Amino acid sequence: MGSDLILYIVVATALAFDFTNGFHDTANVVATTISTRALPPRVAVTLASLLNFVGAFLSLAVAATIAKDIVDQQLVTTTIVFAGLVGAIVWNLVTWYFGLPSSSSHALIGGVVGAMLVANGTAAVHFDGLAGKVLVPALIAPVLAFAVAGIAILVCYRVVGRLAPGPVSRGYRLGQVLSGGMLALAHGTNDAQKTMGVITLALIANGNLGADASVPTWVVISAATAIALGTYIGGWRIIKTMGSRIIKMDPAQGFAAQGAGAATILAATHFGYPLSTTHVISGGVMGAGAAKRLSAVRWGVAGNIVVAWVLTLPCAALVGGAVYGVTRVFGDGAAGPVVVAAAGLAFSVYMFVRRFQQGAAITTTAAAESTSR
Amino acid sequence: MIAAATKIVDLGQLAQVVEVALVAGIGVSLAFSLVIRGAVRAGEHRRTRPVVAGAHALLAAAGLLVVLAAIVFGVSTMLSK
Repeated sequence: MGSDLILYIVVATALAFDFTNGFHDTANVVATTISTRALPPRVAVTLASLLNFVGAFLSLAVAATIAKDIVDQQLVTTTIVFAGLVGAIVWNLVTWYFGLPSSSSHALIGGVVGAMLVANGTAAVHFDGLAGKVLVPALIAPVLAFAVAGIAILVCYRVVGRLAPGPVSRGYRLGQVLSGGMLALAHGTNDAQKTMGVITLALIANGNLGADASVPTWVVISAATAIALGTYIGGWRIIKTMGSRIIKMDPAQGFAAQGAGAATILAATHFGYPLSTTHVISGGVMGAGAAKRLSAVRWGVAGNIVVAWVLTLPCAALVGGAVYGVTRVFGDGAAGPVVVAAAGLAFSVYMFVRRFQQGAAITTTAAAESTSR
Repeated sequence: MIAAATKIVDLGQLAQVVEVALVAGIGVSLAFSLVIRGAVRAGEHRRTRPVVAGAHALLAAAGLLVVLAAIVFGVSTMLSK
């Protein structure tokens, strides 16, 4: 059995990542609900948090993909998993700092792949699994959500077009409570499992579990709790970008975007694709906006988001690889992970303090907008 | 090239994801829009044309059933994995 101290650090880091995942991705789930005033911000975030917790228990197909299909399980060590997690957390914090809704899933996969490449070379990475289960779905998912939301909003407008706008808006706001709930559930099923997969991978690497072992119950409960807490505390910066900076949405558009997102994520989760909920809901939001009027979408903001998507895998891989290299400088023991974890914690605190010093007004602005409209 | 892509990507499975997402996403939006349309029209005609109001209420109820069935189906699909 390997070093238990490193395993504890890895589990703590994985749960910290899960927390940032919920924190970062809250926006995906609740932004449209808040921006169309379907629910007050705190109620929307609380509901999303609870449904994320429940969703994490519903399926383990994605966790299995993360644990088995992306890298060679035999060559994984706890240090590699740790380096991958740090790469993902750093990328999540950087994109959160700039208010960009990038993919936590791809950051995690990129971090682990980068660390694996530095540790064992290209033979240790299942590039066919990476392409088939991650890259191709990553290309298809936002386009699919864009198309589904675009067609759905046209259908909605066609059906309710001649009715009085007041009752229609109230109806779609009610619908958004349902579609937002399904989206939160879908997010929990898809995203909490990535952390479960990584912790399972670390337990296998450390010799605590056999190669074919299923995900332990304590891993499911702790991952569900971490993502739910992160969701509750919330990423207000990204809520602002998703909810109003891409397009200004009406309740019907919010409903169509959330419905398209939930349908796409649930369908993909069923087949074990670790989809980016960020990509999906961003695609849905853009589709719902573009179908009404192409110029309604702020394509500059959308372009920044797409650039962040493209950069996520390679950047997280670079950080993951670099962290593995730095960790190895301290030898095989726990010293490397301890030093890097301390440095990572200091970096996180620095990012939070700096952001809140510069950007606390964004939360205030979001709240002000939601009450003034 | 297509053969190589087929080796890496399970195209059949991906096609199913596309199909399910399209049917569910658009179907639920249509059904919920019918709920709103039926409810609003039923309210408008409640006093003057009760039969028409009843027909719209029926449409709304049918739409709601479809939406609820879709939610139950979605959750049970997750539970079955």
